[in-house]
Amino acid sequence: MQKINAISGFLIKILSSQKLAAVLMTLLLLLTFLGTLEQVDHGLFAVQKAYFESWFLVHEIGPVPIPLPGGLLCMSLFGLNLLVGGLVRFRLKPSNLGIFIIHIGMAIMLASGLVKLYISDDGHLTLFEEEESNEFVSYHYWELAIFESGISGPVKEYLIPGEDFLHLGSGKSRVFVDSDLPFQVELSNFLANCKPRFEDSDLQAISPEIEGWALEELPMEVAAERNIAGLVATVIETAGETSSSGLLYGRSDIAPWSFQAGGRSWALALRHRRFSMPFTIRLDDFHKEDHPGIEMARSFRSDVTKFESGREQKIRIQMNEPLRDGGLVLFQSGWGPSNAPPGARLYTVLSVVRNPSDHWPLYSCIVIGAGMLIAFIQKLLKYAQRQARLREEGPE
Amino acid sequence: MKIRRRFSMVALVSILFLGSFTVQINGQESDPSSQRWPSDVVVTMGGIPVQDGGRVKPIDTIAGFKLLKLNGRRGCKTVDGDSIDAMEWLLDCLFRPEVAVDHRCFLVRNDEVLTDIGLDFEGSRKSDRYSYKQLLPGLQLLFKKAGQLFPPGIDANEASKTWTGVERQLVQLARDIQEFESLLHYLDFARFRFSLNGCQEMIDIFGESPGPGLTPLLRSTDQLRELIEKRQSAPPERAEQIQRALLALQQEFAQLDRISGAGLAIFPPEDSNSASEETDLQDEVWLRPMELLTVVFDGAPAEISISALENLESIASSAVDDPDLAARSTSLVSNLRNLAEARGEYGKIPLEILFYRIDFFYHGLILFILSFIFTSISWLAPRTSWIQWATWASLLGGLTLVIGGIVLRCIIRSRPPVSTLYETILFITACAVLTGLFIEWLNRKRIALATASILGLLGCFLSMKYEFKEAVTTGDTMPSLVAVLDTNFWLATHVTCVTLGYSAGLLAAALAHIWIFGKIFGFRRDDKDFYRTVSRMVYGVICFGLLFSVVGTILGGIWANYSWGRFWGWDPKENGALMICLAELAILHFRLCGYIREHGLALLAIFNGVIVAFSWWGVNLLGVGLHSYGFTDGVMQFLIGFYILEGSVIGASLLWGLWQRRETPPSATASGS
Repeated sequence: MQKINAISGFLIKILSSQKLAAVLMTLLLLLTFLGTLEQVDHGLFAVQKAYFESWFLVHEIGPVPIPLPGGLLCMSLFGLNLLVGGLVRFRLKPSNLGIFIIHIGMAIMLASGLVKLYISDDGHLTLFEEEESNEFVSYHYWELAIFESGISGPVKEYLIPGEDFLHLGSGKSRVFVDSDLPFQVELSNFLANCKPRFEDSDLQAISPEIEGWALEELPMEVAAERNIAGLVATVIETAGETSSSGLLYGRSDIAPWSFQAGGRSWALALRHRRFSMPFTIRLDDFHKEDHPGIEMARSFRSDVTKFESGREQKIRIQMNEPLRDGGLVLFQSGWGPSNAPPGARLYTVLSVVRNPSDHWPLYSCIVIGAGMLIAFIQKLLKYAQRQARLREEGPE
Repeated sequence: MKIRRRFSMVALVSILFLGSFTVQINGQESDPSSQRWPSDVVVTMGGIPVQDGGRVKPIDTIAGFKLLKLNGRRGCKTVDGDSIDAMEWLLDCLFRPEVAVDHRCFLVRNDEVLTDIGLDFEGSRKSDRYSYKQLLPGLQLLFKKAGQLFPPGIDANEASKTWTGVERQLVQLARDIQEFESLLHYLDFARFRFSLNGCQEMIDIFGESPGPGLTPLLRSTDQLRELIEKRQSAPPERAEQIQRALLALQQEFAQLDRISGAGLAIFPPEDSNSASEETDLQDEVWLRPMELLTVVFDGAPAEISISALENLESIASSAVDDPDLAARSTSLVSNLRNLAEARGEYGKIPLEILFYRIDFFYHGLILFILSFIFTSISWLAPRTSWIQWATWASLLGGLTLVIGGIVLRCIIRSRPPVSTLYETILFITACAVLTGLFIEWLNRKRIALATASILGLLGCFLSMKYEFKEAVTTGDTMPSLVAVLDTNFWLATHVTCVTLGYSAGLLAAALAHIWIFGKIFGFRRDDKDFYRTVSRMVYGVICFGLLFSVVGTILGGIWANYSWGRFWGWDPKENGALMICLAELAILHFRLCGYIREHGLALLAIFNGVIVAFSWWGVNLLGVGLHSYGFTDGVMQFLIGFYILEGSVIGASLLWGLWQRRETPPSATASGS
C-alpha cells in the first residue's frame, strides 16, 4: 500500500510539474517545426495524421530514423499536466489570478481540440445553379455503397465505411455479409491512389485484370483530396455460388459497377463518404465578382434556398459569413471551373462542418486574453514601481 | 510557350518602331533631350487617375513603381547626365519616346547579362545603368535567349527554378524592356494619321488629311455610321470603294490596337454614376484609349472622354516649350478627374500623391540613423543634455514619420494598418520603436533607446528593399486583396495582434543581443545592475509579445473557423504563429523552473527571434498552405543570411558561456547562466 502511495505520489509530482510543461512545450515546438517542413513533400493531410494526430512517430533525417512522441500524446499529457497541476500545486492568490485564468483558457482550448478531433465531421457541398442536395461529401474519407439500381423512389443504401477496407492492400481480402442482401461482397486490392488502365504490356498493375482492365497504383498526391482510391470487389451470390468481379474506382463522374443478383439489379460505388444534413440546400445563384480590370476574385457568394420541414428560407452564404443551422456550418470556400469563360455556368463549393466545439476556441480566447492582460498589467505595474523607486533612490 | 512568343513579337515590334523614332530624331531641328518638362505640367499630369491592379491610383504612383522596377530607384539620368524624377521620365516615355530611349533607366546588376547578349560597354561598372538605345543592338539576342529559357511544355514556374542568377536577370531585363516598349508605344495612336484611301465620301467627312489621333474619328462617328448605311444604297462601284476604304481603316486600327492597345486605363466609363454594387460589373472597368472607339461606336456617352483624348493627343504633338502645354495638361487632368469624381473614385488620389512625395520611410530611415549616431555619442558623453534631446527628437521624428506613413496608407486603402507583407514591416518597425521608447521612458538607461534606433533603421531599410521587390512582382505596395482578406474586422484584430507579437519577439531578441555582445566584449563587465536591467527588459518584452502572439493566434483560428470551417488546420503560417507562442511559453516556464537565468534567457530570446523570422517570412518560402498572400521571391537569401548571423551569435554565446564556466570557480557560477 505504501509502495502504491509512493508511486502515485511520484506520478502526481511528475504530472503536475512545471518542468513537464516546459518539456512538452519544447517537444510540441519541435513537432510543429518538423511537421511544417514535412508538408512540402507529403502534404498537409498526411502530415497532420502522422505528426499532430498520432501517439508516436518516427521522423527521418536522411537515413537516420528518430522516434518522437506524437502530437496527440504531447497534447494529452499537456492537458493532464494542466489538470493535475491546477488541482495539486496551484494556490490561488491575487498575484497569480491572471496565470490561473490563462490555464483555464488553455484547458478549454485543448478540450475543444479533442472534441473536434473525435466528434466532428467535415466535407463539401458542391452545387451548380438549380441543383440541390441534403448531404455533404468528405474530402478524404471513403465508403462503399451497395444499392439496388434501376428502381424508382427512395433507395436503401448498405454502406461499408472506409476504415473496414483501407487496409486491404495486395494479398488481403475481406468478405462482407448482410442478411438483407442476396450476395456477399469480397473486397481486396485496395489502392489509395490509382487509375484504371486497359491491360497492355507496359502496365505495372497491382490489381488483377478484369475484362481487360486493371488498376495502376500512383504515388500519393501532396494534396490528399486529389488521391482517387480503387479496389476490386467480388460478388458471390448466396444462392447458387456464382460470382462476378469488378474494379471500383472512386472518381465521382464514373458510373457505379452494376451486376445482377437474386434476380435484381445492384450497384456498387466507391465514393467519398457522405453525411446527411437535416435540411436540403438548393443553389439559386452563384455570383463571383473580380477586382475591376484584373482576374482576381474580390468576392464570391452563393444565394441558396434552405428547405426544412416544408419551410423555405432564402439565405446568402459568402466569404466570412457562413450559414449556421442544425449543428452544421456551411462556408463559402470555392467555386469552379477555374478556367470558365465569362458567362459560363459555375458551381459553388461550400465547406460543411459539424463541430460541437464550434465556438469553444472563441471562449478560450476571451478567457486567455483576459488572463494574460491581468498577468501582464500586474507585471508591468510592478516593474514600473521598481524603476520609479530606483530613480528616486538616486542616479546610478 | 506564350511567353516565348511574346518575347519574339516584342523583339519585332521594338525593331520596327525604333526606326520610326530614329527618323523623328533625325528630323528634329533642335536637340529635344536637353529640354525639360515644365514643373507645373509634371505636377498636374501626376494627378491623372489610372485604373491599375484592380484599383484607381494616380499615374504618379505608376511612374514611381515602373521606374523603381526598371532602375532600382524612383529617378534616372538623362543622356546629358541630368537627374529626372519618375513622373518626368514617364512623360518622356509617353509623349517623347525619341527622348526617353536615351534615358539611362535600365539597371543591369551583373554585366555578364550584357556579355551574354553580345554587348560590351567600355568603362562601365559590373552593376550599371543603361539606356534603351544602348541596349538596342543586343535586344534581338536578349529576347531569343529569354524565350529559350521557357522550354515548350514546361510550366514557367518550374522552368524558373533551374535558372542561374544571370539567366534570371536576363529574363527580368527582357521583361523590363517589354514593359518600357509598351510605354513608348502607348500613344502611337496619337501620332498616327489614318488613311482615307482616296475615298471621296471619307474625305467629305474627315477632310483631306485628318488627325493625327483618334479624335477626328470619334467626333465623326455619326457621319461614319451614315456612310456605312449609305453604302448599301450606293451604286456598286462607289459601294465597293467605300467598303474598301472602311475595311482599310478597320485594319489600320486593328494593327494600332495590337501595338498601343495595352497599357494605362485612364478613361472612366461615363454611363454610370458610381461604381456601386448595383452597377454592372463591366461598368467598373476603365477604358484604354483604343477601347474608346468601341464604346463610342456602340453609342455610349463619351463626350468628356473624347475631350480628354483630344487634350492627350494635342500634348503628344506639342513641344515641351509650347506655351499652351500647361493649359492642355490642366484641361486633360480636370476632364479625367471630373469623370472619376462623378464615380466617387478620385477622392484618395491627392493623398496618394502626397504619400509618395513625402517618402515617409526614406526620411524615417535618415532620422533613425541620426538617432543611432546620437545614442552612440550619448554613451560616450552621458551628461551632455543636447545629445539626449537630439536622440529623443530624431527618434521621435523617425517614429512620427513611420506612423504618419502607416496612417496615410490606412486612409488611402480604407484598411487597418496591416493587410500585406510589406505593411507588416512598417507596422513591426513602428511597434518595436514605440515599445522601445516606452521601456526607455520607464527605466532611462539608454539601452532601449539604442535598440529602438537600430530596429527603426533596420525596419525602414527592409521596407525600402521590399518595396523594390514589390515593384518587380506586383508593381504596387497597395494591391487588391483576395476575397478572404476582405474583412477589416479580422485584419484589424488577428493580423494586428500577431504582428505586434512578431514585433515584441524581435525587440526582445535585439535587447538580448545587447546582453550577449556586452558580456562577450566585456562592456561594463562589473555592472551587474546593467545586465539585470537588460535581462528584465527581455523578459518583460517576451511577456508582452506572448500576450499578443497567443491572442492573435487564437483570433486567427477563430477567423479560420468562420472563413474555412476549421479552427486549426496545421497550415504552415498557423504553425509559425503557434511556434512563437510555444517558444515564448517554454522560455517563461524554463525561467520559472530555474532551468535558465540571464544568459539562458538572452540565448533563448535570440532563438525566439529566429522563430519569429521563420514564421514571418520562412513559412511563405515553403510554397505550401493557404496563406500564400505574400510574394517572397528573393527573400530567401536575406533569410538565410539572418539565420547564419543569428546562429553565429548563439554559437559564440554558448562558447562564451562554456569559457566562463571554466574560468569561474564553481561557487561563483550560481548567478551566471
